[in-house]
Amino acid sequence: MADKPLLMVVEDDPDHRFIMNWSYQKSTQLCSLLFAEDAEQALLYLDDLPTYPSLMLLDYQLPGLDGVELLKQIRRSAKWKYLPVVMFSQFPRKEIIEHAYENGANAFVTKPQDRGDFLHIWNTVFDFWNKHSQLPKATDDMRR
Amino acid sequence: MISPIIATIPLPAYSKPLVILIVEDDEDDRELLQIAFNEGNYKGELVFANDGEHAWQLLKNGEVDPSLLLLDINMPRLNGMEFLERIKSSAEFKALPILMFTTSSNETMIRQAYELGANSYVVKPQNFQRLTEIWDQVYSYWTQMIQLPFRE
Repeated sequence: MADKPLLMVVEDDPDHRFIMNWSYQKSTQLCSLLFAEDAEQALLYLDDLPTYPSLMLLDYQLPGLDGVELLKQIRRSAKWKYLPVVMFSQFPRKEIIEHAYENGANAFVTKPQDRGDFLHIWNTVFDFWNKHSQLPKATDDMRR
Repeated sequence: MISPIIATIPLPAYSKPLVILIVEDDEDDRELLQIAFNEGNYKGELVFANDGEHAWQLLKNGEVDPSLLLLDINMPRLNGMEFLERIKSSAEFKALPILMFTTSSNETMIRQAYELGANSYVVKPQNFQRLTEIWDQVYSYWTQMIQLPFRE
């Protein structure tokens, strides 16, 4: 379990967290999964985790500190700047998408309303990053 | 030939044609990628640059306007890491998604690429069948599932 890459999901909607977790439980569980309910909690986790995450899925709209503000903090941090961040939103306007990429998002996904589509997209995103893309692994200096 | 996912999922209704810039110094690899692309009947166009410097000139001169860029690492003149750093430091091009596409799976290099702003890192397989499979996954994911910038 300790050697699996850690995927952190920052999502304030409890329904969406539930679907993601449900989907994860049905998957081959190639990574460990951790939910943060907002950006502040994500920052606390980043400071406290025993192993650094290999991927973050980040909701664009969050209460308090929003997704792009969290992304900017990650990209400014020497410790976290490597972290691939996939942003998602239910309202993928052109300006929002470009804003996310300009601030260092690795990818941007539309969050669907429909539960079946949500499951499909989540599985596809999950598969691509786990199976086809190389993720940064926690090196010795990244473990505490 | 594998059946691409695009057969069942319609492309978003973009008015701007999809252009993928592939920066690769190996002529055989460029040819194999073009064959994989043609065989899968994918939408869009591949444009090739022979190295980082060539790709930079194409972008700066406005000769290509890609929505996605695949980047080899070991190349003459301007290598992939140097090119990546230049692009991600440029106000004009920093939002352009760059997928590292290289034979190296060195963990230090993977981490360095992400630190420099690579959007993804995919290991380029040596055999053609595997190349078509990886290409299908990369193409389908980045053009169907991902919202790319600069597309209208």
